[in-house]
Amino acid sequence: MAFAVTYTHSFNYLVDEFSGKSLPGLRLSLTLHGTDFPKADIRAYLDTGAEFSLFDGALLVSTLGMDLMAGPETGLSAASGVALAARIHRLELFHPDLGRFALDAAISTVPIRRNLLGRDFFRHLQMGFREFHHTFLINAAP
Amino acid sequence: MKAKAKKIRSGSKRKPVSKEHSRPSPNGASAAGLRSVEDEWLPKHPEKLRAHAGEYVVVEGRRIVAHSADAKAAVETAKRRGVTVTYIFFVPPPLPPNSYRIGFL
Repeated sequence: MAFAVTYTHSFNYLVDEFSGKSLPGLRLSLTLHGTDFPKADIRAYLDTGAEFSLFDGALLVSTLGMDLMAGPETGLSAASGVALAARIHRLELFHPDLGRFALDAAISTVPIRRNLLGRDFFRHLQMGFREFHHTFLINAAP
Repeated sequence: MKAKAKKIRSGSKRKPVSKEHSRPSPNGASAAGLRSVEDEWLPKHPEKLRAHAGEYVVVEGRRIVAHSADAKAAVETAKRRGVTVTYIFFVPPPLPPNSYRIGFL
């Protein structure tokens, strides 16, 4: 049985400036839900293994001025065994091609190196990977 | 013969579309998106980031406007320098030779 999916957008992987290696990710504008300002532009990487999107608390507190500890607490655990605490906050993500997304995302209470877009983000989209070409495809509909 | 002058309509001042935004990439993928100027410039100048491994950097156009191991300090410096919406990210230290990533955390 064959399936056909039509994707409307194609994106290059983001390039790691040091190694020259590329990783699937998007540049997004981000703000607290229900507010227009302040905003931050960030990089976030696609992580199909993450149940929730996870953002660096150090980065968001500094740029958005949010009260991180006011959000409900949650624990996160990585396959590597790394565990970290996070707080849930509703964020609004904006991409000029894909539109606006509201997510109840996890914000780390310790600094992390990369922001991750998890399956809560993927729920809003259909996505395909062309690893050989270092591109990924998106249809901005569930 | 009168030279034909191209009429410029003063009433239709359209914002020019950024070349960075509209140019397709070599493999046909969209180059559109936020901060495409910065993300085209950075891979061509890895030396600019090398000095900031382990730090947060704020990039504006073709310039690193602030950097610090403390995100708050980097953002404050950027704001003092007139940046209103910060494009900020952490610069991870390079992996040792013959090392590969498995997962982001």
